[in-house]
Amino acid sequence: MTGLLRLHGWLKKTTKQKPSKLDIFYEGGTITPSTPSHFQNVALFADLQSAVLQKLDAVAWLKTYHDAQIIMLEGEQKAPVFFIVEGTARAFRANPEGREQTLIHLHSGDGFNIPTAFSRETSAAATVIAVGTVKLLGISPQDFRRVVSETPEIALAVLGNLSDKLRHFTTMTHDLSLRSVRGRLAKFILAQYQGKNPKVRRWTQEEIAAQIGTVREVVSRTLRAFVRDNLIEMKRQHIIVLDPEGLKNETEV
Amino acid sequence: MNNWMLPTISRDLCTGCGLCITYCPTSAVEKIDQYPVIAHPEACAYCGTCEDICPAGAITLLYQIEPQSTDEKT
Repeated sequence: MTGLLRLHGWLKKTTKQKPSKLDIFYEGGTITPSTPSHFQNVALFADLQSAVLQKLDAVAWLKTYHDAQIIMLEGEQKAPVFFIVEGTARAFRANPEGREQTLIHLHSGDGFNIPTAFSRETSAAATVIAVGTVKLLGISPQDFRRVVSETPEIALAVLGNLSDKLRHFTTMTHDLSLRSVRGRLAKFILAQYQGKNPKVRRWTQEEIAAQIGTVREVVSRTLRAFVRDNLIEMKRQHIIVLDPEGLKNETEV
Repeated sequence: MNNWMLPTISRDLCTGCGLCITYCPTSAVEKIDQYPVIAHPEACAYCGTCEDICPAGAITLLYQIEPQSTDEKT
């Protein structure tokens, strides 16, 4: 019931923005095993031989989503395991009022919903939407589990990926629980400044808020506070980092 | 990168309340066909007042985080 309320709140907010968000647009179809495998471009499988990856080719399909389309809904039962071939997607959870917490941005080479293939819990843990056009390889959870259980190399690669994700979410839990909003925003600005996110991009304050676990108004106030403290300067759409050391000190408070 | 960005106003979300027009400090926003439009882009200071005041969340401003240029440092 709670999941339905959350879904309702998020849909109420997002469908007003773009009615087409709920249209699942299917392009492409099943893929034939090839050399090199379609999965060779998926980072977590990059070190594996094509012959091994063709086992995944045999059970996968290719799907394309357009900007803001929903790839997977939180709570969806038995959603496929996905791997991004091209493009970016955003995974998040939302409360009944539609406020979002971004969990992770997924890029070319990333996989998601992998735990569904191995867990007793078969519902999707988060909503994932396309940011721009995204091409994905999809595999049913049963097929993925079967291939992984038969292929130790793939199993080890999956374990490595899940370990990385666990580390990511451990860090996120620490940040949300033990850092102040100033600290989280400072960390976010530093990460962008230091180019730790793969793509240089523009952000709305709403997106920054979803990323760091707060609301837009608090982001706005905190940015103004950073300007007053000479940590940053805001010139129209440019947020210019004046004092990276000062921002680093904020993350440690 | 475009150095003169403007706020984006979503017609899907906008309720036509006019608060952004009333509160814009540089009068860059006007009502055209019942909806606010940045009619005087050269006057827009990108201050974010319209985004703050909009009760429907219809106005968004984009930001890019970057280092201080070497010219500004000297």
